[in-house]
Amino acid sequence: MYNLVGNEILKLFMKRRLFVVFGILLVLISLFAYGEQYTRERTQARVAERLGIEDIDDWREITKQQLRDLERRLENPFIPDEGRASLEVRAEQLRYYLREDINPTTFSAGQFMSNFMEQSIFLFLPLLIILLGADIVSKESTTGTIKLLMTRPVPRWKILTSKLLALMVLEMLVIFFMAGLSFLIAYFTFGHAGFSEPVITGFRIVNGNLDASNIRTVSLGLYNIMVYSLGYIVAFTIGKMALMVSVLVKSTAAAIGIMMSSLIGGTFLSFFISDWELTRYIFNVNLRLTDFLSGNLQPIEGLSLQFSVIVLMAWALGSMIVSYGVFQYKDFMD
Amino acid sequence: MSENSSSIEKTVVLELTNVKKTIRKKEIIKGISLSLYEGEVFGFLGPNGAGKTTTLRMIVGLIRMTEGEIKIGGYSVKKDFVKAMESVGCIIENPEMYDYLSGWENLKVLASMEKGITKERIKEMVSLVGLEKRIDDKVYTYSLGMKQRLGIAQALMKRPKLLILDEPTNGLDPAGISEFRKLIRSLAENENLGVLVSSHILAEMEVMTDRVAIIRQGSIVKVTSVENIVREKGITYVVSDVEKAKAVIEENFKGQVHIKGSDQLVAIINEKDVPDINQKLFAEGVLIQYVSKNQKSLEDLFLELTAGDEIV
Repeated sequence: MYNLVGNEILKLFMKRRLFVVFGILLVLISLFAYGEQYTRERTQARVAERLGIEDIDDWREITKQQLRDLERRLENPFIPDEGRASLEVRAEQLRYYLREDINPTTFSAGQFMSNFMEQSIFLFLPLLIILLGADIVSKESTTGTIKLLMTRPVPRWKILTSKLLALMVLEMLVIFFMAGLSFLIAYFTFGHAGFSEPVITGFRIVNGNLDASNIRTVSLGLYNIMVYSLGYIVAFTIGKMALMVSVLVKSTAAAIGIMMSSLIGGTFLSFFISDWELTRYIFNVNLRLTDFLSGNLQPIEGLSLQFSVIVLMAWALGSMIVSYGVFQYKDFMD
Repeated sequence: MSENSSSIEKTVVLELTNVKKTIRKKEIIKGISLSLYEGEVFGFLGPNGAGKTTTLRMIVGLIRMTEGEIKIGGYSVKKDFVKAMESVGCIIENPEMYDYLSGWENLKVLASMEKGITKERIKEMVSLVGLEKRIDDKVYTYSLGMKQRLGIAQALMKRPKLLILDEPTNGLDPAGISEFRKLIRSLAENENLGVLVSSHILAEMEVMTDRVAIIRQGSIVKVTSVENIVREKGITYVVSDVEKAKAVIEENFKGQVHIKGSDQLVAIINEKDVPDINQKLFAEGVLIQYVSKNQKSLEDLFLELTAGDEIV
């Protein structure tokens, strides 16, 4: 089995698609870091101008100003309940920072890392995994090399398992690469790692109201481990689905197309029919796992971290059952 | 070649028993049975869509049979796939390889999926097919002929008992084809390898194989040895008096004579007797318009047996 997995990993590396993915990550993270730096400077300049002070180093003033802005917005009676709860989370965070004397305006590499994963977990990360996983079987069908594999004295399930394991290693590699690269680039841009900084998490929105009973502080380092672990859960699920499509469809282009359109289409669907009970079982709406940590607004009410993880695991398991079932009895006709 | 001749006891390496395949309620393969012995080159012949490739794919487990049994070296492909495949080397249709890997990496990846193929064995195969100079280049830089050679190396490196080749000389130049033919014959004769080969080039089949099966619309129409086909060749005579000519030839020379028309007959005789027969006929007063040698070949047999397929 080791030799089979080794073969699959060799193939994935030699195909160079992995390096395309790494290249995309490099470009995107650099752009993201530059943009983050730019908007941060602009905000500070604006706040300083409004407050009429020249020295913007006093983070307490800036934070208080932000809090006042938020409170003013909360007074607006036309904000829907969900939006109100999410604003309350922000306000509560700012109050907490002031109370605990934590400076939230400094931006560290650790914060950038978690921001980047939070922004990519529902679309960009799945996209990269699709690029890697959707051709793992279909490429062999397209080029005909599947015949070489299937005529060895190795049972079919072992061949699929080796591909599955190789893909899982690769998913992990992408997550590590995302973490490493975003850390390095952000460290160069923002100057310090900040892994010991505290982050507050544990907000929940229940029936449109903020439930602050479970609020906790964790170090930014630990927070990042949590965020990237959740990222791996998403990568794992999407990887299994991509493998299934790759088994079902012969052409790589079709496999990537099907996965992309279901990823994007499902997200649209979740916006339009968010009242429908079944929507919560679509994998797309459960991809934003990191929002449960940061207290961001969920597209559908009543989701919880446990629920979303269970739904994603169910999708992964279902995809695996279909993959094995089809692959075991498939006829390789042409 | 009679099946029950017990003078030379040969081992069956491949046995198909009433193999059928139905796809979407349409019966593609309608019950094929055949036995292939070690040291034998067996040809699979048929027009496009007759079911050659489907049958070959069922033998190597790429397509699952609906009914019947396939045994390789005594192991059932259905129940004992791994054991059965341990003794098979094959090239199914084009010799596709991982073109983003080098030739050597291809062989190594495939060898790691088999039992007991050493580095030396792979090297030996590379030099057998004459790819030493290019083996470290990526396969996408290879010509079709070189890919074909790599395919042969891949199929032979495990020392199979059965070799399955689908259209094997595709992409080889004439020198390569003749070299390949010699290789196949020598493997069959010296290493007692059973070879199942399909081809659409009839001339090639005629020189390469011991027996051929002609397959048409999913069934085997005829299994015949190449010797038999050669024996069916004869001499055509166009003469003034066919009855008298038949009598003269049959009385004086060993052979059979069939009357084919009012002035035409076919004599199955030793070619060396032709001058003597001609003299005798002339002496008996039979006038000969012309004499010609029949080129009854595999091609004639094939066309005869598969005639009318285009209309169906």
